[in-house]
Amino acid sequence: MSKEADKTDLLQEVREEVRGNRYEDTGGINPRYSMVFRTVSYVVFLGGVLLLPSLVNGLQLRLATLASIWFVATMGLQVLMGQAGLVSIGQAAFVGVGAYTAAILATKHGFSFLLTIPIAGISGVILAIIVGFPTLKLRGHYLAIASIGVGQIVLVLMVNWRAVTNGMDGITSIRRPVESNRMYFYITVAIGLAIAFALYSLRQTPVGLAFTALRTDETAAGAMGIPVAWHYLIAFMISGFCAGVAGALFAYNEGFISPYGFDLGQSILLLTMIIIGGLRHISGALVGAILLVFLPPNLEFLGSSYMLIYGFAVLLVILFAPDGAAGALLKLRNFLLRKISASTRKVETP
Amino acid sequence: MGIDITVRQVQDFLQVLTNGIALGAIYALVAVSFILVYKAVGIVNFAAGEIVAVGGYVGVVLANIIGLPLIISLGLCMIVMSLFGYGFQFVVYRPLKGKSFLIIAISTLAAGIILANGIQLIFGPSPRRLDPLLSNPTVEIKGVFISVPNLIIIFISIVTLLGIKFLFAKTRLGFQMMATAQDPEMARLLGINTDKMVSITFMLSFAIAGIVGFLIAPVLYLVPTMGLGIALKGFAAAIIGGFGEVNGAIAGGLAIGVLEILFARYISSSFQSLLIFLVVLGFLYFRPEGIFSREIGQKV
Repeated sequence: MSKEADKTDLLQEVREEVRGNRYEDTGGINPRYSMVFRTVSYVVFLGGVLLLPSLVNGLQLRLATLASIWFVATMGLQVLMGQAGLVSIGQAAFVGVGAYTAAILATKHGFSFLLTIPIAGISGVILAIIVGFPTLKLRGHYLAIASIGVGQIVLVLMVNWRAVTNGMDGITSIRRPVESNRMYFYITVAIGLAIAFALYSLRQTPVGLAFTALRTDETAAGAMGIPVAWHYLIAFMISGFCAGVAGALFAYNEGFISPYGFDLGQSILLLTMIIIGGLRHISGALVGAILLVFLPPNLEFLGSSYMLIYGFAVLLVILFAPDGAAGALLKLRNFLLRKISASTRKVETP
Repeated sequence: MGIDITVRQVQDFLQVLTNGIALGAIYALVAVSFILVYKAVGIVNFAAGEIVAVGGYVGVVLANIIGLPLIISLGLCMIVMSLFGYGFQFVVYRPLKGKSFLIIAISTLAAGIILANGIQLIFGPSPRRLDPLLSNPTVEIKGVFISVPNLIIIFISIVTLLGIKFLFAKTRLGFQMMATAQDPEMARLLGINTDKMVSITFMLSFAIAGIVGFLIAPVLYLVPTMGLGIALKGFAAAIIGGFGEVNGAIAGGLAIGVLEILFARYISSSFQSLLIFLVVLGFLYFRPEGIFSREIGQKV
């Protein structure tokens, strides 16, 4: 038991060493409160998810489902950008490939939901390998540029390769595995949380640590013997997988897909989600997806220029608060817990 | 057997070829515009396309809305754009010194989003265009019809590129700029005002983008979202040219322009961007150092 604890401590140390800085300053917080808070917040979150469909109207439930779908796609960006430090401006293309793969398999070949979801994820991985293999050996900006290119190419194929994609008419009547919106919402959240848990566990493994090392100092990490290009490719593949799964979930949710939903604007929207939500934390993907799905209806007074606000928001966040909204929430939590710890300590000491 | 080639087909080919060269000259200028900044400060400017768009709209304001003569508008457009470049560096370069590639890339991208949507807010989403120069803008040379705007594009591009060549090959200012790009520390020790050189590089880069915007405004329509499409072709030209080489960028730009137009004319107009992307991927696989092979070194 204690040996196990030692191991975790060491890992913790390595992780913080590699990061070069600690994201969370947990000094002055009673660990017990921290754990109570964590348990309570998990319970509240899960309870909220379970009760949500009964509490909100149909439109809001639709938006919540959409938020959990974009949460999946944005988590991929968190691994790629937040952990490995790469930039992709073409995430929507991977979502699109996943969506079309799922839609074609489901409507033309009668594949079941349980099969199409992982296959859609794998289609994203394959696209990631095609693009990542030549570019990731080179310097970082090649991937960013190639990712814009991929976005264009996938769009061109969706529009013009009519035999497969049905062009601008898109693919219709994709049937969901469950009829009720409530059940589909639960399914998307469950898949999202499963992936989140997997990615969270990955952070503690050598692969996750290597990502962090690469982001902090690529040259030093390479000199230490970390295979640089290989780990970048893994990060890109994970990102592609998440996008592919999200695409499949999206296709089933809408029942209809066309090239329209997978353009550069959507890529930039996903990128905005992870930047505003917070690059450093997987929860940033969740916060960002929720914020950017539920905000636009409130920004209607800006007309089509609400992207202008996003542009400014991204610029300000990346310059002045790179940890984003999730980082701010964690700071707030730590601040409150520190206050509580301090006040209870006063009571105990005299 | 044998292939029958009629005179008409040759004339047609030459016409298509001129269009391709004109388009290629545009791409070459875009690539040169952002490679100058890349070489000087190591920033890949993802707003490069939007800056071209801004140049085009500035041209529309000067020539169409205010109604100045075209040549004066072009000069003013370059001046306005170089001032814009001077200001731009205070947003996405100076505050970001020493930050990671990710942060810089996202900042320039955000700047691009802001510019594109700012344009949309001011000019609306519908296409704009500079009034064409002539009522019948083609000349005929032995049955080959060549559009005058294309000839002007080719002419101004050649003048601009020769000017840049001259700047870096013959002038003191060009040497100082190159020295700053290669080794800022050393340049500073030698008494070069490196801050000033970076400013001048930004201004030059933006002035070139202004020329590009002005040149394409009468030919292609201007839309607020045109930026990334143009930037992508510029990036592709830069990659083919070895990323960081002015000569390579020019060759890459011409190659892409000609390929794109020929492919669209003779094979398929729907899949032309697919072709460009495959060419770029091919270069990344087999020849990442670009057309004019040179080892890519990486500073530690």
